[in-house]
Amino acid sequence: MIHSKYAPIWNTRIGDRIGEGEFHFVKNFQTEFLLAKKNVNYQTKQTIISFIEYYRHRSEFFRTRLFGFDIKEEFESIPLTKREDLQTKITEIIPTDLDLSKMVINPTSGTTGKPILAPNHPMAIGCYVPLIEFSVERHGVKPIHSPKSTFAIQLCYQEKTIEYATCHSLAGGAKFAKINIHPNSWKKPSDLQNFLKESSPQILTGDPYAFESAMKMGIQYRPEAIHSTALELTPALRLKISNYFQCPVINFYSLNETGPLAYSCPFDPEWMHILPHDLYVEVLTKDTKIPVPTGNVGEIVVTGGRNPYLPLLRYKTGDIGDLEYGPCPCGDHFPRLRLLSGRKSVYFHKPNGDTINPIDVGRILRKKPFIFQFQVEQTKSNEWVCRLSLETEVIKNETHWEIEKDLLQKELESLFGENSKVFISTNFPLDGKKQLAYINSYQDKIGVNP
Amino acid sequence: MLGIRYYVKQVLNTAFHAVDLTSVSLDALWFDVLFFRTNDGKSSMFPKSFDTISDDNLKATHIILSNLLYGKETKIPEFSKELLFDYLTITLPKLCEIVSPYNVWITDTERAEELVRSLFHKFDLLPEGETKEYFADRYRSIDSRERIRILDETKKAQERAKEILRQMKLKEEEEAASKYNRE
Repeated sequence: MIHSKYAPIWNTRIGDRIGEGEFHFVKNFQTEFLLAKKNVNYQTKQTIISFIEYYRHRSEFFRTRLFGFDIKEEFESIPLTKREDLQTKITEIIPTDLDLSKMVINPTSGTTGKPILAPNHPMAIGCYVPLIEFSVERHGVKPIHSPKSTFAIQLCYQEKTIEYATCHSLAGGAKFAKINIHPNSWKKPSDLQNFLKESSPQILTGDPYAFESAMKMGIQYRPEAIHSTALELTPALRLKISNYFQCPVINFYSLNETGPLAYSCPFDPEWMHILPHDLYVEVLTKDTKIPVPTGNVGEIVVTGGRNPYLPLLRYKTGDIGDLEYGPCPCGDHFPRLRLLSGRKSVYFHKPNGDTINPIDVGRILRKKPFIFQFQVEQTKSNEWVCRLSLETEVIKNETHWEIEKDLLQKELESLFGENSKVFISTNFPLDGKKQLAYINSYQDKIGVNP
Repeated sequence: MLGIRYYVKQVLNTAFHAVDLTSVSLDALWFDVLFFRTNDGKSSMFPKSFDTISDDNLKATHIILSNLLYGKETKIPEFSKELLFDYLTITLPKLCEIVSPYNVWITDTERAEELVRSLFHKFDLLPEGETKEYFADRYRSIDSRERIRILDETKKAQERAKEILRQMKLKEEEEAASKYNRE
């Protein structure tokens, strides 16, 4: 893949970082996971107690949060963990005496709120493999574990991003690549098509934005399945992608903080089955924060997981949905989740009509360490408002900020194209809430169909 | 058992004005406690005499405890003589080294509570209206030995927090681990 004459311009080297210890951990996890699926042993309020007890005296955050609580009797009273806690109390959450050398930080693009630099462990990331493979198998795709085979290629459409090819030791050495389908990344326009054909991946992964861009570009490739994550996949778009690529489309719900959470049911794609067996999922009402009965909508809250650096204690995901228990005709009898307002894909349009992936905007803003949180809104065909919450030190030093502001404005205007104007304001609240980072009110006003 | 406030009050109200520290016999006091409170106490005393104790702080704390355990109206269930002996010979001298002078036990409400809880912890007793979890958390938060340990560890924790943040910054820039999907 790396040496293919059609290959994109690789700009990163990356591996799965799976050593012997990680390999055995993931294999054990897989065995337990498959057994739990077979025996319908999903996590419940009763079974998650031992997880909480384990971390109660290992994580300072758990210890203070659980002060005086009889976890079994008063589970619903345990305070919820907020995004803000992950941003400000991460050093207390990470269990004491844990070796930090294996820590990895997967930089995320993030479309809502300030990104969380969730520390992770290669063994927890390794567990994505059996979880994702299970979800595709449920849709009739049998992953081939051979170094000759390419299991997946991840597509994205951005002006700039990392691109790499690797193989996954947990998938028998099967190949994997992350590529940018943006024309910037290819030596010749025809290379993309040829590269896909030559690599012949079983599945394509990516977000709805990438698949829409691929359709617009007229990419011709028939994978065995499409795996869509990160942004909300509307039923209309799912059908459109499925018809175009002539394959099932699996909607996948996964968070950087939790790893894979749920995948769309092959029988009824509106619903997603809880995927892992080691996460306890609750749906809580907005006001009273008590669990809602089946069929009622509330906020999704999770406890548990396998990331040793980030044990989750009633973590508020910020996502809204409802949860249903009971057998399912598809054969996976884990509870089913319906996400109601997910992360909608937002597109910016250049004055000349080209689309811009907001992730490119995020890439520019996140380079600046003094920007805590931001929101970028396209208000007119050639105008954008960029709202920032900044480190106080930066605002105090007016001269320095004027220089930075000018640079930022220039960089954004260069991305948005000729004649574009960017207005920067610094009054965006920093409240740790999951705010929309990208809005296109101009598109909403004129009714442009993405 | 009664609520913790009752026992704390008992400690705070120890009648030291009626005690002559120089001449008091701890063995006699403990004999009375064991005689009235444990069946075992009727036939045998502790394997070692406490009358040899010369440290006033430790001596006074013995008096506070014997006063606390004396009457049946305290509703403290019958306890084991061996556990009490262990407590008096191992835990108590350590506590008295940290909490000194003994007046602190009878003037500072939190220290009084600590003394009661450390004894109840040894006896595995729960004051009325408390769960095991509440008891353990509350005890840990006022335990003087724990407080000193925490002070020691705070410095270490601050250094560790610094190290975590340094590592996170570093790891953000180094190789991540490949994932099939993005989130």
